[in-house]
Amino acid sequence: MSSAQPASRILGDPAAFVRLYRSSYDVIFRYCVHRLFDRHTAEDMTSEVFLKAARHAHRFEGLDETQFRNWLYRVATNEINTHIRKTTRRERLLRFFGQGPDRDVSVRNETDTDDLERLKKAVLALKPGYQAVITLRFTENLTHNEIAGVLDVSPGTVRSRLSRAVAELRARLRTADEKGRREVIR
Amino acid sequence: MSEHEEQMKNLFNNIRFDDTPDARHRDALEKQLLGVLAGSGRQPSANAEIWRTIMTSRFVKVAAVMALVAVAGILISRTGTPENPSTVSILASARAAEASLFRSTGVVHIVSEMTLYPGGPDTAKLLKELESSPTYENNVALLKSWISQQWVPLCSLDADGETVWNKIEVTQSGTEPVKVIDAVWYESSSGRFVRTLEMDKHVLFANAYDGQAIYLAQKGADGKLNVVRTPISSKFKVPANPADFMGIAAGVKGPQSTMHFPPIQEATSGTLPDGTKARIYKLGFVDLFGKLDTYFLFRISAETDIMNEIECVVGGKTTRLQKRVAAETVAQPELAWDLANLPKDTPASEGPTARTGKGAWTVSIAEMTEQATFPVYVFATQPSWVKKVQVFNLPDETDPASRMFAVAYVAGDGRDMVLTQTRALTRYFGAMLKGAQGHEDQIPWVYVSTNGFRVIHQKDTQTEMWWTELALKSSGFSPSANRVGYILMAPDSSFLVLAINGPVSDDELHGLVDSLIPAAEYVPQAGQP
Repeated sequence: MSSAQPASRILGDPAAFVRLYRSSYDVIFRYCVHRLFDRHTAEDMTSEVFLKAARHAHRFEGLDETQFRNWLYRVATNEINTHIRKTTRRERLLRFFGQGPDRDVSVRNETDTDDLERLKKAVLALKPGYQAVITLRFTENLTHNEIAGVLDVSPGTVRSRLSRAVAELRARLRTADEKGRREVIR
Repeated sequence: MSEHEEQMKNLFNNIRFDDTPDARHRDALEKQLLGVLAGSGRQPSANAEIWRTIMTSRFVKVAAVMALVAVAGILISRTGTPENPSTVSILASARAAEASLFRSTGVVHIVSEMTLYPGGPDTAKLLKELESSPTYENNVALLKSWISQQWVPLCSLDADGETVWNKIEVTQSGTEPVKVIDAVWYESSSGRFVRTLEMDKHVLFANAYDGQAIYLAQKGADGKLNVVRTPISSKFKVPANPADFMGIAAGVKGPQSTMHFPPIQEATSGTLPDGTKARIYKLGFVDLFGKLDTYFLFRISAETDIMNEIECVVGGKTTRLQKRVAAETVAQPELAWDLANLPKDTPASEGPTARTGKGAWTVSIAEMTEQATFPVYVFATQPSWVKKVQVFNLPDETDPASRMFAVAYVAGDGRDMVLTQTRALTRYFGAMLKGAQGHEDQIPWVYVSTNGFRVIHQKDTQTEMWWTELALKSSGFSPSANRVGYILMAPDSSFLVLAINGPVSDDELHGLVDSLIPAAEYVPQAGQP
């Protein structure tokens, strides 16, 4: 996207939108996977994000590709949070994880499996807002300022929200570790 | 980054998700997105019944897409295997018979009378009205106007010996028909000729050859005739059959040497004004409703095989009648072979006026680019099934200063294509879309290409069959049962229509549309224009 060609450019030029889609798809899909730990749901969510973006491209007021990506992140975050809140997906995911290994998200080696399971449970137990800031910061590697842009809050809010989310996640991971050790002892 | 954040980052970094995207999902979503984008380009407005009407109305369904294609198609002729040999054979024999008139010794003087009947609508004005107010009524009025538009083709000879297509337009303010006298003097021994068109005893147009140069006289804006002398080139040859550019049927032939007319619908017998027997042929296309109210009537002498009359009927009303009124031998032409004594002072009459200009001719893609005053597109690479490409430059009735271009792709497997583009198409479909605001979801967009073209496919078999048949048949192609037609909206919001004479897969269609480029960027391939 060239400079000074905001939403109207995308809206009036499907080819431009397609180019942006192609350059953004992987980023958004990965974000959805990292948020949801479920490839199929992540694909559905990715579809929702881009379809929504296409339908509401006129709402995008940014000027460059980075701003467009951040806008997509925001759309995705809202979609995922809404998805989690409005459905029982979160609980079902937790139950699913309790029943056995994830069939959709695999890890690269056996050592990672336990860590992934532990992390999934801990992250998915967080409030959606905390999940978002954790994922954006640690898997998407966005800066505080970028996260602030995505979530439409101040960088200070991001820092405090991230601090609380990290603290809660650490606590949950510690709890999971202790529970795991007890299970091993029994 | 705090210590806890650092630890957390390391934790996430040490877990490597298998988060590789699935290309199949990515591609499927892209197609879905293109569909959404195609239908969401404009904001809703209150004025918007027209497109829905187009899609549901029996009459407008035809016309929504077809008027211009039909007009273009009727005028286009293409060399190749005649689809309608009976028509061609009749015309060929009439042409041969007419040639005999010009072979007489001395100076042959042939006079034809062309009667133009009033009542033709003002297409340009109606298009403007549709643009400002895209209502159903205005749309129907425009389409009827397009269908009944008339300009009279007129052939002349240039300094290379090639036939040039001119057009003569007559503006009629009254209710009386206008008569134009077409007078020819021809000397078979030298090939010298003089031809004039007169109205109200004023010469409108003249073309002559004196053995050394070609003379062309046309009425200028000042109301006077301007005579241009062009010495013949080294390529110049006296035409073997002067009837090809001065005969009665020359004006209704295609821009190519091979005639291609609509099929013969009726063959009857009758008499000519002098009482001699005649064969009468009705040539036309049956419309979508099974109606044949727009056609040519050829009246051919049963004794001489010479075509004596051509009548053009549009919507059941005669719009033009050409008939031969004299064919004799004279000692000298009334005008000098070099038009030296041509009366140049031809004041505009109070009543009808006439304007002549260039009609239709074939061009290269590069020439199309130069001559077009609007964006024109071609396929960057011809699909494998295309063997030959021809481009026709045609008049645009809605804008005399503009042109219409039809790119005919001759296929090796029967899947011929005709790509038509003109400013009027853009204005027309632009008005249609304006009228459809708020109902975009009813427009049958089927594809948005990566280069920004949006494609409408009116998947109504009857409608699609009707206009694609007309476009293809008129272009010299034999329509197949599974032909298809698409309306294309370019990234610059201009419109094109594409008729394809056979089935194309989604991939083939997408490949075609994806390959559309501005004609200015076209790099000719071997054997292509």
